[in-house]
Amino acid sequence: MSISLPALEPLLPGLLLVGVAILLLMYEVFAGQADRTYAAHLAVVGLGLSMFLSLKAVGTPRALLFGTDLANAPLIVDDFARVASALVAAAGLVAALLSPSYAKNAGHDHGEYYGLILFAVVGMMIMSMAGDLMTFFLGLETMSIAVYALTGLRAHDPRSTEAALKYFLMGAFATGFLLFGIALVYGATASVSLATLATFKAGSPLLTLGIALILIGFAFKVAAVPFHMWAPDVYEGAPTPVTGFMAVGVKAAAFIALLRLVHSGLGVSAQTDSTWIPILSALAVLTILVGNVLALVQQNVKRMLAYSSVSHAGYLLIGVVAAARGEASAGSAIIFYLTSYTFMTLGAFGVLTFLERKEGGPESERYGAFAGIGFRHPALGMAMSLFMVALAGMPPTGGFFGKLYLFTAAIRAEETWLALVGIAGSLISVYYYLRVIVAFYMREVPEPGPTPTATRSAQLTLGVALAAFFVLQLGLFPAPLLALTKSAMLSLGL
Amino acid sequence: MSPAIPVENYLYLAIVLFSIGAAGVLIRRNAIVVFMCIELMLNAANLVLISFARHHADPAGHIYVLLVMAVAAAEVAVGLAIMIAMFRERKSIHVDDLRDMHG
Amino acid sequence: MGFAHPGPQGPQRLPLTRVDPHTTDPVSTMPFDFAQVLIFMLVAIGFVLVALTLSRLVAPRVLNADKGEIYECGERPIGDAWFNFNPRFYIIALVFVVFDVEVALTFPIAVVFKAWKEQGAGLIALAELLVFLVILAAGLAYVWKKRDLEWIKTVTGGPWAAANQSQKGPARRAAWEPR
Repeated sequence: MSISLPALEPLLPGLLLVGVAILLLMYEVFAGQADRTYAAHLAVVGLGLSMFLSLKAVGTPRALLFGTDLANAPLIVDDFARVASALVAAAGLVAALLSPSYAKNAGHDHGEYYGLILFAVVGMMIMSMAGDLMTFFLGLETMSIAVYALTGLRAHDPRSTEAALKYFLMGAFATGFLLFGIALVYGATASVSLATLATFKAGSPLLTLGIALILIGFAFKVAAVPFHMWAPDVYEGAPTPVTGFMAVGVKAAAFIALLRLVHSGLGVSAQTDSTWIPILSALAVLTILVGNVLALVQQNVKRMLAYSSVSHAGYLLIGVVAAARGEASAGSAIIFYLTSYTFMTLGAFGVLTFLERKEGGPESERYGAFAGIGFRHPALGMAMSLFMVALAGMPPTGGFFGKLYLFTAAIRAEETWLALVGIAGSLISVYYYLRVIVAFYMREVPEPGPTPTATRSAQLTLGVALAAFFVLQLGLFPAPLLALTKSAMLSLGL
Repeated sequence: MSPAIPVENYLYLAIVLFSIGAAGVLIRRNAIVVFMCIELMLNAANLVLISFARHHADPAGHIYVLLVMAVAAAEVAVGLAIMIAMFRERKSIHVDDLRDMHG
Repeated sequence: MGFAHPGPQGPQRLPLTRVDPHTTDPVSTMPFDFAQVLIFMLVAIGFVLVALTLSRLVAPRVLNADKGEIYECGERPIGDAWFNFNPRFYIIALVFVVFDVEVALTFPIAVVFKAWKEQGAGLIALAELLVFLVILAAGLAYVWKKRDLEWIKTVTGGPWAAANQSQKGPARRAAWEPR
């Protein structure tokens, strides 16, 4: 085995972020300033650059790092990984834009905050590139540990520390399942590589148990029912921009890693044990129904969005089932859905950030608190209406095409009933999304009424505007992103 | 580790350890004890990795164990920090006291 | 990562496995090896049982309040055994744990370093190790600068320090105190 310095150039987008993050940490502690807006700007520039580098490399051949073939390379930088990296970098970018004024208002304006976001994004990138389960585990933990800390940053708010502890304990619990599953798979196949796993046939109980435990770990991470208990509390308690980042970034990274696992590791040719596919279908149905029904009864908008994010995980699971059935278009539908979901969810949490009151607390998150906002802040009202319409999956937004592609893929994979459940769930969701718009426009304006915009800032405005732009863009011109997702799936060998 | 002990025995031991850990997470109410149970689950996985690494004569498995230990240490650091923050707020680290949010 | 499957499954030994020079077949002698442990265990348990039974039979029984106390090396116990340790310990512990365990990652490199050097890749191994150590050192510098290595944390900024400026001396507070 000859040892030589590997060409690290394909990792540049990630290495750049690590560099910026360490720079931010060191600058914070050795030359810290009172105002950390500079840190947000630096993080945004780094994330933007990293996103640009990832997208620029799309179309170039696959790069294997630290290995010579698919069976021994821990990191695989193909178009799939590049598109996914750009997606999670975009999520981090918008989240960083939402943060500075919120952090100042909530009293957690630390420079480390942006460093943690960058580290989490790097972890997500590693997850999307992982060619073996152990590398995937390392990426997952890099992401999770950073997000645990982000959740608890509002250290003087009991809701934030409670959310952080809950998230940490449940996340570590899930990690335990995942790791034990990986260990069993290693025991059964003498390797953790996805390509090696794909060559093993069904029948070994060790392998079946291992894959089941790994899938349970995934279900925890994406908050699929019945492993969703932590999600609403954590989403409610975390600082609002972090909630947005968590809802989109963690979910996107987990689904992208799951997609690679299904395609490259579990063998869509049904060579391996496929008993887990019906179980995954059942999880999808449960997740959609429970998520939507519980979202209906919430009085707190942040919490409603948490349950709605649970139900979105259910729609995405439909896509995973279709992908596992060998439907080629399911993968690109999932990536398209994740992208539009990223922008509409971050946008919605951005509007919530805008409306955060000076004193914070759950009171500023209730439906009643938003009475008349649509008239007092017309632009904000328009933006929120757009995001809600998109989340409900109505045209002319990216949310519509996301659901269209996803359910079409399910029907093509002969999982029509799953698609029907998804459509039924979407119909339920229209009620609670429209309820937000009703609160914004059709409730009487309390007089004199507080002006709940303690956190207005140029960065926040830019973040919400960017999200709104992309939601509309994806709804009106979905073709470019669709082409991108198709080339991503082609690089996986489909 | 005597070569005469078959690898299945290590596997059974690991499964028992994992189950004890998982049951502890569900039963115990002190956050630190819950976390110790999670560590037990991780170490059960380590045991599987190390015994199969030997069984397959594959040194990579030994490295995985070291990686897992390092990751677990980083997790401990963040977890303890979160628990300290929680203790400062509430003077308690019982998971039953985590009930500001519900519904 | 990336080691080929060794072939047919079955117990295989690494070259490092030590085999007892007095036995040729570890399988057939193992029960006898274990018999020694078993006898040792039986003797130990028997010893405890005999000692306890004897003292119960022979020792005089005088009960008083002092005897009912928890045994703490002859001292009268102070306070409850179940109390919260000072949270400062946790901060020290979590800093310690990270650095302690991360160092475990450097040991594998020490093992293979010589082989790598002979293959002419010593510099790469050294560079990799140094990158890792520099990141750890950055963490240490961070903790140091944040004053979390001090038992009593000196606060230089924030409202807490301002409130204490009027009093003599720098504002000092324990790292664990609620702000």
